[in-house]
Amino acid sequence: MRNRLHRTLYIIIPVIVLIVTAYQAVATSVDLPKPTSNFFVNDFANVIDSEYEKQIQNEAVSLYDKTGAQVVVVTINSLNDEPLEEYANALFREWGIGSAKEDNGVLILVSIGDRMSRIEVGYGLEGALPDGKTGRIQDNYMIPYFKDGEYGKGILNGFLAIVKEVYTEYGIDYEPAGYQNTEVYYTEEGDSGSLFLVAFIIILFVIDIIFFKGKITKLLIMSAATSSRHSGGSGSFRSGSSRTFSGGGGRSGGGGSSRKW
Amino acid sequence: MKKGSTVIIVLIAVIAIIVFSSIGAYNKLVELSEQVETSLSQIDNQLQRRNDLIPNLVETVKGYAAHEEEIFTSIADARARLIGAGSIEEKAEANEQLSSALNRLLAIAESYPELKANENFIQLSDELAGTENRIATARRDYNNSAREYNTTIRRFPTVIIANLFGFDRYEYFEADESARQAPEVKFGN
Repeated sequence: MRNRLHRTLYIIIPVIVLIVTAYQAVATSVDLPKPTSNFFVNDFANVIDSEYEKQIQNEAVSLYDKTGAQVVVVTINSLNDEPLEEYANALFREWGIGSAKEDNGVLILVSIGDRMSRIEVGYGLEGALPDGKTGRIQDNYMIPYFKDGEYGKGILNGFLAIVKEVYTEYGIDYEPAGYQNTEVYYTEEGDSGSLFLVAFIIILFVIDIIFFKGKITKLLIMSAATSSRHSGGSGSFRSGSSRTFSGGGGRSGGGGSSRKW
Repeated sequence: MKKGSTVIIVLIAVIAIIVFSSIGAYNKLVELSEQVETSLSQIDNQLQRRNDLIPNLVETVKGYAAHEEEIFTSIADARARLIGAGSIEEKAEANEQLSSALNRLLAIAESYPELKANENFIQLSDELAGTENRIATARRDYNNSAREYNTTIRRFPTVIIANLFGFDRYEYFEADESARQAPEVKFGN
């Protein structure tokens, strides 16, 4: 009698666990990051130099002030097997890029790990930025740099090309500073502070292996894998002013184009 | 006399509650079905937009790959089927067929380097990919609003109002999973 109960439980419990996990997998199908306080630059993959980030943020803010349009840059490490187009559209709507009334937003999404990029255009700017033009902007201004690993440069270039088109749409003749500037300069990222941190982590790891048979490391890896899939770098740059920005409820309907490199 | 008036007041109150909640439910259903209709017309817009793009694209490809007759025929067939489609289900199926035919059309560019490098072709395939993606988005929006509507008309007590005023359920715009992916455009230079 007891044996039978045990056997039934052995069957039922895995089934329940399976159903629950399957349900959760469906419920959290698109796992989107939250915008940073900069809103216009969200370098989750940590590939844009702080110089460039600053420039993009400043240009985006002044575009926003002059026209109300929002051009947002997002870099991620991985799409987690989500189709690029669906991810971009979901992110666009979740963040509400552009105003709800005009839908005048543009999203530049670059997934470094997938080697894919997409320019997603809000309904209101589809006239200024038809799909063909967004494709050409990626082909001419972004992809050549991405192929050389110069993500920051490529993103800045493509971003400025889009900003220029948006200004034209609003009847403003504007040439952003640094447009088509081909000079590239890198800022040193790895200073002595981070070296010390790496050494410290290695020492902790060794202690864990010797005294705890690596249990703590295992635990950390498991919790990192399940919880923070989007804990990308917060970026080293913060907007100089105290202004914070957010989306205005703009939507896109899948307009724009995608590229692989 | 006093007892009678209390009964009347209670009766009136109950009727008022029923009437007002019915009006609320009715209006909710109207609003939801309007939403479904809007998103359905959005799908139609995008289907039309793609329909307008096809002749240009086909002409451009023909200029480089005239002998790929089989693909041009299958595109023409699928296009005709989509135009003739009546129900949402038929439309979804014809749409899937046309998408896959167009995917093949874009894929043959891989064997024609000159076509692949053609500015006009690049632009047209971007427009096509964008439109395919808009169709996919419009379809998702439609299915979401149809799902919300269909759930609402089956829920109690709205189900009574729905039956009374003949609110029917909407079909989902569904086709094979493979049709969900917009054609991918790759131009490695």
